[in-house]
Amino acid sequence: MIEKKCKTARLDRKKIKFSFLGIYSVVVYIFLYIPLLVVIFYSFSATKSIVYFERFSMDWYKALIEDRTLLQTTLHSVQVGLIATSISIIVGTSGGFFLARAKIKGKEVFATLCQLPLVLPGIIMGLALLVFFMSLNIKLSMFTILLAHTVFTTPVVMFQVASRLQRLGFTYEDAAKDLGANSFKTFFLVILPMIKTAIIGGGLLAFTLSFDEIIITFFVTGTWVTLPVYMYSLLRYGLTPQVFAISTIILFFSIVIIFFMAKFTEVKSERVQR
Amino acid sequence: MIESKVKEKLKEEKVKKTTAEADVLKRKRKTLILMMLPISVWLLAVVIIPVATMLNMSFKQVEGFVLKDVFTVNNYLKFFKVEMYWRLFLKSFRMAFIVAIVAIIISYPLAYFIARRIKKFKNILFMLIIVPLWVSYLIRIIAWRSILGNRGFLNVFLMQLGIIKEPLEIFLYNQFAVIITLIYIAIPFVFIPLYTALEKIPDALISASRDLGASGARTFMHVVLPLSRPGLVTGFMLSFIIALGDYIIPKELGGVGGIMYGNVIWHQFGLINDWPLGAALGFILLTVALIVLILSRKLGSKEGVFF
Amino acid sequence: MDKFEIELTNITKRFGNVTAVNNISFGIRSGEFFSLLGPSGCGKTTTLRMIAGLEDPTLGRILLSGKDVTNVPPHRRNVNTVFQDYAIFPHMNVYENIYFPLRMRRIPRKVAAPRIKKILETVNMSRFENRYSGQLSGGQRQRIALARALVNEPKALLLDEPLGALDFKLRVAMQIALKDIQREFGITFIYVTHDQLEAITMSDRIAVMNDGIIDQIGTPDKIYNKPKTAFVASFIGEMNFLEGKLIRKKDDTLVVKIADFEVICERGENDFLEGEDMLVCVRPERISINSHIKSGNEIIAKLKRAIFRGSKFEITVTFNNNIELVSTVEDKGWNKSFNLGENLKLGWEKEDTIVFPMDMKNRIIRYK
Repeated sequence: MIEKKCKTARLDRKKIKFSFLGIYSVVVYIFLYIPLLVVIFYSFSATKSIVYFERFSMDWYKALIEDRTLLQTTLHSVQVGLIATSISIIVGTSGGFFLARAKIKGKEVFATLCQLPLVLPGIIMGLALLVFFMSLNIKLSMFTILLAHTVFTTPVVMFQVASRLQRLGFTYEDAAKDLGANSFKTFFLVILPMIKTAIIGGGLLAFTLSFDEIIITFFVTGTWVTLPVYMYSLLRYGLTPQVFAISTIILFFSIVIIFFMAKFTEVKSERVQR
Repeated sequence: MIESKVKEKLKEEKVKKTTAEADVLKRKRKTLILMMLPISVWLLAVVIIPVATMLNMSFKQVEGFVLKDVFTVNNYLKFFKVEMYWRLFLKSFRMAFIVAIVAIIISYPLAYFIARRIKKFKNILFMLIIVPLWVSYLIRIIAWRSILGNRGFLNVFLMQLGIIKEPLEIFLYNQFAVIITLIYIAIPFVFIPLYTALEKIPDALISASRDLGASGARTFMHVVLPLSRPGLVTGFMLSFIIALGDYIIPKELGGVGGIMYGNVIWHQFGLINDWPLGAALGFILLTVALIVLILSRKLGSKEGVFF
Repeated sequence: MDKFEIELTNITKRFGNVTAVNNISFGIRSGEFFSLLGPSGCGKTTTLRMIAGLEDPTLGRILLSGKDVTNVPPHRRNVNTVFQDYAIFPHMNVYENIYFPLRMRRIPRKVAAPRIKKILETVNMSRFENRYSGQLSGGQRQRIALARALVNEPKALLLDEPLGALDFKLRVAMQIALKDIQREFGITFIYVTHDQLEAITMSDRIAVMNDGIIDQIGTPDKIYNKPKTAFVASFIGEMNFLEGKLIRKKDDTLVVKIADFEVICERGENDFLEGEDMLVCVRPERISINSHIKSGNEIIAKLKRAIFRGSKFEITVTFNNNIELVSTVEDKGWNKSFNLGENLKLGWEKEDTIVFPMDMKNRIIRYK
């Protein structure tokens, strides 16, 4: 009898604990998503005033298509994203390789330095780059934005590649060399295919970060403008509802990209089950 | 005779060996340099030199609209002498601290739940937390402005419920709005390292602790919490630094009361055009951020967000 | 003098302050099954990797077929390795994996095809051509690793504890299979293992390593019956170690006093001094209980423990309060009616006594 009572008591406690955390988690999820839902919500609202939802309308989306600057800046963002990602794939892969394989003292310091642009506040990198460009008399343009974006896209790819290489271990390279492949062939025929998903995942992440970037970009933008900067300018002069529409579209595409990225980068459960 | 011949042969072999060995070393060095070159060039050109230039600029002076090429620590002194600057810095420091702490308090139970209590769908739930992270910083600002405003979602909601009759102005254009938006931005940054750290704790340790007589609560306090320290420290560091240096959120949601240190830096590059001062203020921020980083490393932070 | 296929001369490898391999020299003959045997950390894997070219020796030379390959990179040496974790390329199927070394030699696919098929047959994996590494079991992956390393018919095959991850019965089966393949191909095998039973079973010659040096090289029989150092004696098989003092040197024998007993052993090449402290060793299976010994080594001791081990009994006795001796006797040879504490007579032939200087004591490997 006592045993049965104890068992049911423990079960109840477990259930209650579960519910507590579970309910809490649901609340947090709601908190995280309400703002996004609000944006989507308002993008379909007919009125200019954001308050009352009068009727469903696609007006703002239609307005977007007519907004030339919008299309142009979107194109600019895509261009910068693609080029910056490409550069960072080349630089980042070789850097990741160096980080994972080289046997030099001071590698730790090097790794930390490369990590800095990701961790430091964007405003610092932004103003440092601005001062740098001005002191060299480089006019602010696509080039400066591109350079600024590689600041954070490169470490992203680099660390993805480095951690994958570390997980892979030395043995495959040893085996390839042992079986007759020189360094060149080892890299292209054996290693590269095995880190390919890390590169792609890192690349997607880099592109997404670049597409969305405003904090650093704002400092190094001249007349050639990217989408976030354009959106920001719209934002500062009142909350034109088009912004909601753009935001919803970006939201949609981001989710699609994240979905693909999830397939490539690993967010694996590393818990050791013994 | 034979002795000298032997000696010569030995020397010859030694030379041959050293040149062959030198070749091996050269080969290895070449590959090393090849790997290191692109990343070093990048690091130098895009990180180190710009920061050095910024440092250099911070020692200059502006008179009128002319940049004078002098060396002075005036700008740094200004930070300490002019009340606005250091006060604003402390205020931002305080706000960032609140943001980091609250973000951790909110995220920890969530991370614990998903990492340790969920068996299926872990990946999806994890991804769902990450989604807001990559859904445009700006969009999230836009969202909060439209929620907190006079005619925003929150006010409308409360009025519909009859809790208030007129829209409250207290939600937007103040510290509160800035802090809450920053917390919102920070949560995914805190969640990831916390989740990673909690995930790694082997089940065997929990079982051992329970087996040795510790209750659930004590197991948490003495086993889980300490082991999740790296995640805590990393999460705190990331969110703190993000909040400390932000200038867009204070600008758009802070009104007058919500201004932060970042704004004042930004101003120097705008109308005021005092670049040396801006650079100096920026460098002070950089130093503080680096100190926070180093402290976090010492306290156990190991990973970053993206790897 | 046999020409050695592979020769290492004064090889030393240092990693920073740590000397992993300390001035070793030896040669391996063509077609030999040669094992590097030793405990973890003794330097055997490092030595193997230096032969493969995956590590560069700090000092010394390596010759393959008479050519100095010390500075030749691994992809240009005609030796192949089977790695401990197999290293099957996961992004290629079995066929492509095996084709890889041939491809590196620029052998076109058409020419390579029959060779690949043949080697797959040899390892009994013909059906698995299109499978990928993730779809294979451990044992299957091991055979693919073997096939891949053999397909190019290298001068020597290097194996780094290839059977470590397999369970016991599979391991035994693979040992036999490997030995058969080696004999069939006639390729020199260099085999690294920490399992002394495995080494003794499979090898033509064994190099026993400890702490970066080679203690002894010899046939399994020599290593087992005539160990040159106390370490080898302790590492191979089971061994009793007793401590005593040399009290008499005769023409062909030595007499050592252990507690109250005198033990005789054959005098070998070693020169010991009277009064010197000695380590006296004898294998448990050479000790018989309560039976007649020809050249009289006898010890009276009390029965401490009798453990049944299936085909044998392991009898532990003590004398002089704390000195232990272990004897293994066949099931039939043990009278189970003996009581604990009862006195038994243990004896062995004088040829079975092995002695070492006492300063070798700290190099004995003990798992107590």
